Order: sequence, then structure tokens, then C-alpha cells
Amino acid sequence: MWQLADKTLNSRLLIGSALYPSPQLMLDAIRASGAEVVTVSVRRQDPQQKGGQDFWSLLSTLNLQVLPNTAGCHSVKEAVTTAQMTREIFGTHWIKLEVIGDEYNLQPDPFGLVEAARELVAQGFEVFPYCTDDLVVCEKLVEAGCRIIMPWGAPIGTGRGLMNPYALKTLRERLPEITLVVDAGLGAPSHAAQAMELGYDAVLLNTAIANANHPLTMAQGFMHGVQAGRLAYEAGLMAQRDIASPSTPVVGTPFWHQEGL
Amino acid sequence: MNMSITVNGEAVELKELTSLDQFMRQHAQDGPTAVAVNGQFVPKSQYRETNIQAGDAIEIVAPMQGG
Repeated sequence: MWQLADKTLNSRLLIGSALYPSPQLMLDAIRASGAEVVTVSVRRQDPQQKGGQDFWSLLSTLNLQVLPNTAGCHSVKEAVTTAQMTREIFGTHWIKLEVIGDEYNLQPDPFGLVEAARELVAQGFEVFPYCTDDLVVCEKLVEAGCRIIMPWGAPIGTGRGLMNPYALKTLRERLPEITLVVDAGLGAPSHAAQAMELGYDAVLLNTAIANANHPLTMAQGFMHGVQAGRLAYEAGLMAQRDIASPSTPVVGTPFWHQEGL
Repeated sequence: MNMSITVNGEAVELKELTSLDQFMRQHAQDGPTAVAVNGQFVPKSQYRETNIQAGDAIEIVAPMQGG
């Protein structure tokens, strides 16, 4: 069990609800992942999709904590207004805050992010900022009132894994009291395991599961990857060495003889 | 007196002065929605006292999949 804001959870995998081949596969994959937190969004109501109501009715059957996002927002004002709208629609004060600064790699705008975070914290939101792995930016987000920080592993949807393990490790060491979640860029369960081995509290991903040939099976893979990484962190990884050291006892080795006697 | 506004980026003509409450009864679909007028969130509790003005830009959003 662990604490994420005001919720006590078992799973350390947070999962997205987008990009699945079908609504049923979305439900099946989310269930298989064991995730207890699922990200959602808002968009202009569309008569063709019944305003997204079918999706929401279906997802609600899982009875999970939702984490709405401000995906697609490029300014502080857009992000704050979108967050306010999600709070009314989904009935939660949790918000995954995205303020995009560059369209090419969907890199967060650190300046807008800090400003929006400060405003939303003042309005009573629990802000989960999607940010880069820059230490100073993350410290500013903490100063703004964020208790949870979500640095990227790699740009959204790239599946490249942890681009900068050094920076992520530094964040863990420098922000020991903050809940840290690697968000975005994970492509394989081994990437999730690596993040957890660094001491991250959780990971958040979507594309790697939704775009797998078999999303349900990949969801299970990520579930196990997260668990393996967490167990490794709790157990404590061995120190790396430069020189080999036999694991089998040397004393009593058969046919042993000393060279040069 | 006709009044031009935009709703989710589309031009819409209103035939009379309308409160946001009346407007949403006609235009919002079933299920949860939320509204911003000219970029400002308007909570449901304020729909009745909010009158739509000529030139207003109204955004109506609904739940959607997200990552």
C-alpha cells in the first residue's frame, strides 16, 4: 500500500484511457494492468461521439480514481480553465497539468507550468505537473505547492524509455519527500522497472499498452515490470563492480591446483 | 434581434437574448458537460444568471479519452 495525495493505493501503475483499438480492449487492458488511477481528458462535445458520454459511461463501470489532464493546452489561461472544467465534469480536484511549450516534441513549457501550478494549487487543486527532468524546474513546482511531480522519461508517445537516468536519479535524491512519477515515453516493461528501481513512486503510461499488438497482455507485462522494479528498490540493488567476483565458493574446487609450483 | 456567437468554433445565430441556462438546455448533450465563455469557466451554479452577449465565444466540453 502507498499514498498518492489523499488516496491509498496498491498499484503503482497509472494508466491512460486513449488510443486503444476498441472500448472493450480499453476496459480489459486497464483491468489487466491492476491500475487504480486512470487518466482522462475533455474535448469539445461532438455529436458524432455523443459528447464522449459513451466513453465515460463505460469507464465509470471500473470505479477507478480518475486523473483528468489538460492535454493540448499551450497557455496558462487555457490550462487553468480546462482544469476548472474537468473538476466540474469528473468531480475530482486532481489534475494532470500539461502546458505544452513545443509542438514538435510536446515538451512542457516550464515557465507556464509553474505559473499555472501556483494558480491551481491556490484554487484547491491537487496538481500533478507533467514536466521535464530539470531539477530547478521541479523545485519551483514544489515551491508552487505541488506534492507530486511527474517528469518525463522521454517525449509523449516515443517509447524511448528513460532518456536521462542521471537527471531522474538526481530528482529522487534531491526531492526525497515528494511523490515522483515518471510520466510519458515508456515503451517497455523494462523501462518501467528501471524507473521503479531508481526509487520512483509510480509510473504513468498509455501508448505502450494501447498500441501493443495485445494490449491486455502488455498491461500485465507492465504490471509485473512495475512490481519487479519496486521490489528491487526496496531490497536494495547490489553495488556494481569493475572486476569479476565468483559467486560459487572457491574453497574445495575439484581438480584445483596451483600454477607454477 | 439576431445575435451572432460562436459555439465550439462554429458560428451560431441566436434569435433572442438567452441565458446560459436556456442555451445549455438546447445545445448541451446528455451527460456531464462544462462550459467556458470567452475563455472563462462558468460553473453550473451560475448558468441562470449568465446572459449570452453578442460575439461571445462559448466552449462546451465533455469527457474524452486521455493519456
